[in-house]
Amino acid sequence: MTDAPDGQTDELSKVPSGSDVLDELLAGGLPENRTVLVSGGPGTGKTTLGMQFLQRGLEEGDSCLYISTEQTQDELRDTFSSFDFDLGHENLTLTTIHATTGYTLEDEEAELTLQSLEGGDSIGEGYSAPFESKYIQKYLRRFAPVDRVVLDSVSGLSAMGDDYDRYRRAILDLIRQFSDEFEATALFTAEESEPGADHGEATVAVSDSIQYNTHGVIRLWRENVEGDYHRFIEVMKMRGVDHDTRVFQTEFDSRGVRLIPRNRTHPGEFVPEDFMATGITGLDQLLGGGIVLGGTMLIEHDGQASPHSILTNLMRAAVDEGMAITLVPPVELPPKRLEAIIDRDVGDMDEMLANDQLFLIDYPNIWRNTRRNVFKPREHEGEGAASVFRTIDERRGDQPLFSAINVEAQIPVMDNDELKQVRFWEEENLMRAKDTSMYFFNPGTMTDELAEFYKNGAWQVLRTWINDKGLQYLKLKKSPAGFLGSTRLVEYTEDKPFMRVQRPPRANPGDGESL
Amino acid sequence: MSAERARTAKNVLVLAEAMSDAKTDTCYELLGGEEPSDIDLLRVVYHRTPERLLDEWADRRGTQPANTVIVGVDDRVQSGALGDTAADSDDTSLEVLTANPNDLTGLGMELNNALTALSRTDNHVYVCFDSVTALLQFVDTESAYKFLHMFTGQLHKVDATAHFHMDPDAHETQTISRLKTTFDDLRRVGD
Repeated sequence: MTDAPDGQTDELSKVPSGSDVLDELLAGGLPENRTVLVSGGPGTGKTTLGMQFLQRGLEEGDSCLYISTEQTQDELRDTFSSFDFDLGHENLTLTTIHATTGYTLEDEEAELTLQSLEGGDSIGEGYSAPFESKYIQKYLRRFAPVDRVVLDSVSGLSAMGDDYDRYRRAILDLIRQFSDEFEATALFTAEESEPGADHGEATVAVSDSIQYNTHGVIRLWRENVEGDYHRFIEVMKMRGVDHDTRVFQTEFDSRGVRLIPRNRTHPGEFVPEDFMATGITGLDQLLGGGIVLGGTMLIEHDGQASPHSILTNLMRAAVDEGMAITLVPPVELPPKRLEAIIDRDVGDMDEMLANDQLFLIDYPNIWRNTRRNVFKPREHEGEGAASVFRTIDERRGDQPLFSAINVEAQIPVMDNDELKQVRFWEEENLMRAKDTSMYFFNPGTMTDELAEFYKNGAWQVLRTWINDKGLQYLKLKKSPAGFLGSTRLVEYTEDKPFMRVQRPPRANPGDGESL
Repeated sequence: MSAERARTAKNVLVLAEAMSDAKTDTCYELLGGEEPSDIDLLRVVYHRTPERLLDEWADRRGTQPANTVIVGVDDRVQSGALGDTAADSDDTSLEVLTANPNDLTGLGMELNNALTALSRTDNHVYVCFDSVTALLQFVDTESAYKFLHMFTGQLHKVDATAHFHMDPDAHETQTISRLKTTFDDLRRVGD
C-alpha cells in the first residue's frame, strides 16, 4: 500500500471522523486504511475524539476496536459517562494493554510484561509475554480484522524501553499491522506535555518521534485567551489531502468534541453578486468572491510587500464594471512609473482622466497639473478634500465610484481628526450603494489609533508581508466571507494578472491555478 | 456445561512410539466420537503439514469439524487460510496459524488466540498436541513444564478435551515423570 502523491486527492477514500466540521476540514474525513496521530496535552479531548471516531463507525456498521494503555475498562466507562457513547455495542471491542512486572515462560525472574490493565495475563495462568513489539502485535491479532482502531495512547507503549529507535520501530510495526493485517483506519493518540506555554508551539517528545510515520497529524491544545482557557484543534499534516490549515476552537458536548465555529467562513447573507472579482483567482477564493461591492477594504502592508498588484487589478475590474475611479496614489510610486502601470494594466490614463473616468488626488503635489481631474488639495486653499470630492461626485455622473486611497499620502496634509472627518463626510455625502473603497497603508507609518480606525471601518482586511525568507504572504484578517484567518503565499508572474495567490485549501479547484 | 462434557473434559498424556499406528488410533479415539459438525478442533503440530492433517481427518472421519485451527510450530508453514480445501467451505472453517518453535511465548499467545476464537462457539473443543517430544527438542524440561502447565490450565477453563503425544523412547524416565504431573491422565499405548 503506497501513498498517493500530493494533489491526487481523489485517490484516497475517506472515513467520516465523527465530527462533521473536522470532516469538512479534511475534505471528507480521515484517509481510509491509514493511521492518523492525534496529539495533545491532558484534557484536550484526544480520548474523546478517538471514541467519537469509533462511535461514528458503529453508526456506519463498522467493527471497532479501542485499545487503551492508560485507563481500565471501568475507568473508560467513567470517562465517557457524560457522553452519548454506546460502549456496550456488539461491534465495539474495548481492550487494554499495559506494561507491568510479571512472569514469562522463559525466565525465572520477574520482568516487564504485557498484561491487561485489569491484571489479565497475556498468555494465561500467571504467565505473560515480555513487553515487546512482536508480542503486542501477536496479542492484538486476535481482534483482527476490524474497520476502525483507536490506540490510546502510543505514549503508554514507551515503557518498551529508552531506546528511541526501538520504540519508533514498534509504532511503525503497529501502523503496518493495522493497515495491512487489520485493514483498518486507525487513530493513535499521543500525550503531549504542556510546557506552561500558552501558545500552540508545545514541544512534543513522544509524538515528535512518530509523527513522521503517521499519515497525518491532528493537534489539540489549550490556550489562555484573556484569562480563560480555551481548547483548539488544528490539522497539522494530512498527506495527499488538501486540508484546511486554520485553527478551530473546540468544545465538548454529549456527542463528543465539537469544532467551532462551524461556519467560520460562510455567513450566508452574502451572495456572489455582492462581490467584484479582483481577477486574481486565488485572491478571489480567499476573499470569498472578491472585494465586497459597496464596502470598504483595507490592505495593510509592511513597507516591503507591495499592495500595488492588487490595486491595479481592482482598478481594472472597476473599469470593466463601468465604475469611475478615484485614486490617491501610493507615495512610493513616482508619477511616471504609476502612469506606465495604469496605461499597461488599467487603461489609457490621459483618456480616462479626460473622460471623467479617473480622478487623481495628488496630496503630495508631485503630478503635473495640466490635466483635468488631477486635484491638489494642498496647493489651492479652495481645493480642500470636501470640495475635491464634491467636484468628483459631479463629474462622475451615473458611474459608481471605486476609490483607492493611500492613507500615507494624506497624512502630511491632514491630521488624524481631519482624516476621520473626511471619511465620515464621504460616506455621508458621497457614497452610493455600489461605491466601493479600498484603503492601503503601512501601519508602521501612523499611530495605532489611526490604523485601528481604518481597520474598524473596513469590511475586509488583508495583510501582506515579506517574511525573513523573502517570501510574500497574504492573510485575510477580516471578512464577511472567504477563508478568514488563512495565510497564503503570493507570487508574481510575467503575464496578466501578474500576481498569483496560493489557492486556499478546499477552495473549489475547478477554475483556479493553485501555484 | 453439560454433565457429559464435564466428564470428558480432561488432559491426557499419550505415550506412544512416534510413527506407530497405535499412536494414530489412540489420537482419533481421544478426539471423540461426536458428529464432526458439532465440534471445534485445535491441532498443534510440529512436523506435519496442515494438508496432511486434513487428509488424514478426511480418511478417518469424512466430514471436517465445524471449526479447525491448526497451529504449525514451524517457520516453514505459511499462516492464513488454505486455499481450496474441503475444510474451508460454507459449513466449516479452517485457520492455519504459525509459531516459531524457539519462541515459547509466541506459541503460548498463538494458542491463547486460537482458544479465544474457538470459545466463541458453543461447540465442544477437542485439542491434539503433537508432540511434547518435539517441544523438548527446542526448550528445556522446566520451560516445557511451565508451558504445559499453563496450557492445560487454559484448556480446563474452556472445557476442552485434549491429549498430548509423547514418544517414551525419546526421553529419560525422570523427564516423563516431571511432565506427567500436569496432566489429568496418562495412557501408554503399543508395547
